[in-house]
Amino acid sequence: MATKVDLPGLADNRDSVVSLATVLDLVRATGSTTRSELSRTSGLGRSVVTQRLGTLLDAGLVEEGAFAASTGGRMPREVRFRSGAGRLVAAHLGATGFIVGISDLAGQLLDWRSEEHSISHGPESVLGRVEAITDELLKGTGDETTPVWGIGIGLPGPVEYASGRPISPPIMPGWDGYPVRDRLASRFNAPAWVDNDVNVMALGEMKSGVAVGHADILFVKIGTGIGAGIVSRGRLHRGAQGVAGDIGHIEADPESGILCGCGQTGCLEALAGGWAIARDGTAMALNGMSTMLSNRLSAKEIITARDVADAAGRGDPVAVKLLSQAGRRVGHVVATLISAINPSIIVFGGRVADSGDLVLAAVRQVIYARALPLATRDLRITTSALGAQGGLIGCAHLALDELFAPAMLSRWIEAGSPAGRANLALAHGIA
Amino acid sequence: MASHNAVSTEESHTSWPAVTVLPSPRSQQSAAPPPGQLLSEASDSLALVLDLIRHGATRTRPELVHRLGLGRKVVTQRVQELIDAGLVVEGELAPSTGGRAARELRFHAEAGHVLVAEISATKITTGVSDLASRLLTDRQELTHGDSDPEHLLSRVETLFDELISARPAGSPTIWGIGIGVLGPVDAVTGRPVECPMLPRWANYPVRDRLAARYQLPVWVENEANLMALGEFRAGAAQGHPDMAFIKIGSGIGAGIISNGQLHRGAHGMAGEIGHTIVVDDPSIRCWCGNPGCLTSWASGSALAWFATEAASQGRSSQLASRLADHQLTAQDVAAAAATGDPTSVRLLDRAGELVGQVAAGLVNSHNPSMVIIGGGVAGAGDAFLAAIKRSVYQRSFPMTTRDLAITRSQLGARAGLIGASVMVADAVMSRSWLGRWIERGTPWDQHTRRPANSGQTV
Repeated sequence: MATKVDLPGLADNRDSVVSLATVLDLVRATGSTTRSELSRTSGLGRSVVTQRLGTLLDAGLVEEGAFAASTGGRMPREVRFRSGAGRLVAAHLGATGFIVGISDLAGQLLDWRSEEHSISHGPESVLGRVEAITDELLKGTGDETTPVWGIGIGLPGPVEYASGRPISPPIMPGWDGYPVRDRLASRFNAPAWVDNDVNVMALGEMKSGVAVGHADILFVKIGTGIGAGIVSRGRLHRGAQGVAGDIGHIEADPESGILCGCGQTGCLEALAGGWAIARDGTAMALNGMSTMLSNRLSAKEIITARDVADAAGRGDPVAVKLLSQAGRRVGHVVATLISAINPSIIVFGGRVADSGDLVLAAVRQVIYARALPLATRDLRITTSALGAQGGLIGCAHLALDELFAPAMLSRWIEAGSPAGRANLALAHGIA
Repeated sequence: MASHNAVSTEESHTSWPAVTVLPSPRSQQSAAPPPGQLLSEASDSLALVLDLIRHGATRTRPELVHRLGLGRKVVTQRVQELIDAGLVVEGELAPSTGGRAARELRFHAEAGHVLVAEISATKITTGVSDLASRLLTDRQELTHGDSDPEHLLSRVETLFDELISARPAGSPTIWGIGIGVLGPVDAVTGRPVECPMLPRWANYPVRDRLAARYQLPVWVENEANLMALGEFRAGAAQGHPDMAFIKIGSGIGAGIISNGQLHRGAHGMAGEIGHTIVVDDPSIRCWCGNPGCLTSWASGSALAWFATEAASQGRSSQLASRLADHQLTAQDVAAAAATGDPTSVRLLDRAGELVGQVAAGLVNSHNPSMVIIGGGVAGAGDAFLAAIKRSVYQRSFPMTTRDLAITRSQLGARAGLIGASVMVADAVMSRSWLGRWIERGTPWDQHTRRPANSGQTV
């Protein structure tokens, strides 16, 4: 189906490409529509819409469906996005494990699998496992012959977006400068894009989670570390070096004297991240302040943030205090961000944020006490609805956004598909 | 640049260019394409071609073909439309790169004028710019504490009237008005958002008032946002698509540029960093309702307040003798610090330290490549800027400061006006607008004198 499409002069004509992308975006957004509806919503003439649809039909991106209900004249024929024309590989890597999934071209996950595998084992080991599991998933998901159109990857550290390489990631030994994008693109023979894990989580919430319809979004991940994904006017704000959102290293309490992994003292994540909660929980178990944690420590020989959350859930006052303290610390920093960013929604995600209501309640309390009241008047504060799959869905959308951007579309539409074009993401497109 | 507004109550400069005769607008053309098609098909590429030419990125047709990936025919057509509309003029033959020499294309920035104004806490500035956001004339005057929108906008109108009548004969038409005001602005209505500090400005119809009076499209924006826009497009931050402008004047606010666009936030309130709580001291409560805001510790008015307190408590003889002469301002603190008054040095150092603390948060969260310090207090001596820098470098994640530049405003007191002009030019020549008026030659209807649209913020 995805054979060579005859498009006289398309690559030469930006007007056509822009209108082609416009028509495709509208079909993708609605799932199913008609020519007259497309003409009405796009402002494009009927003949232009019909021409562009012809191109998309030839490329196999769109198909004709049933006749829609007539509104008077001839019955209009429905057109639908063919979300099954290709598959996407999504890989969301965290500090202690990863999730790999396969999605269709609408960003719907078809199958996924997670595995505990520390990022500190290095790129060869981690990406080797990611690739092996992806192979298995590709075999077992849907039509095996459906080609891979693109790959989206989230990494738990700063990423130089243009090159798809991690840059000086603090908790990822061996990953600095590793060509993650190039490796996966050539392995699966399709264009790949790599971003920071919190950014893809923010993207997931914006595209199909609680933040759908919001253009100014703050996503805060409280996991082992703490990070933020910022969306400005519907676009991810990545910053000059791609390290925007690194709020885990905002100075939260310099007087605390607590050393952070980055070398500074009093960083937010050294006081409120999952590793800090685990550290404080261990101390409370050792000094006997909390019997529940002491028992846990003797049984498991280790205390994690999860253990602290469990103890808090069962009413251990020390554990409750540790979590609400962490929540308040996060609240201080987030309150500042609200005044600077003025988001319409804040979404909290990550294992610590998801561990119960305690943390979020403390965060909220401080936000309302300290942020500019004007900026919190219509602000929605909520937790991720997508949970662990949010990042994975975001990875799929990372690839989709790039694949269907006008400049990128113009580079593969004539071939009918981006499959087999591993280098599409490498060279920069027009303008 | 320390005290542009304290030196004199009025300042002005004028540099009118030689009058250029406008090519006549393309009036009687044959049937225009259907509106929908023009809007989405042609105006997209029209705006793209115009953007490349007016930003000086591309100077010939072959370059445009190359840069845009558009066909030769399309480029020739679009360029001709822009020439017919008087927005682009042909110049010299460009140096040949092998084949036939191509004719140079130049944005005709003199095709229209823009009226710009900024109302800050202490002064009103007004001016006229061309379409490339070059100020042709501007003047400023002090407001002497008046904060009534009726008075201030009447004054702006008087100044606009003077500026309009002072334009040389043969000046081009005025295309629009851009104005910067204190506090957050609702982009849809062009009205300031309700804000406890500026009660009389809440929901005041700034845009509608000026649009009705001048029959021109009007755009209204927060002044710190405009300063950021001005520096980004015509000042120190050119080529920095991720940058922040921190304005330290009577209050403190920031303008943030993200991905090359102004980050306004959900309700136009982004950049309100003055209300970050930096000191846990409940004794000084800010108008916003919270104690310990940055504004109440480090702004110009805070410095004046602390200086007055120090002078009356006998902690600084220099400030005391100044106080005997006049009400203290941040400029007095700067002047006293410059001559070594230890109390003033400490006040500025503490203010710089606190501003740096908040700036460091912004650097960590936004990873800008440049932070510009502007506003009246920004000129308070090198020690003040050094304190800010010290604080930022000490508190930021090292990777975010690797290539970070922290610098003073290059456009100074004119940053906001230039930003206002950029706002208007970008809006009028944007994809969605250009298609609506290009056939007519100017963004408003010359016969009915009605604007093509009553204006909306970019």
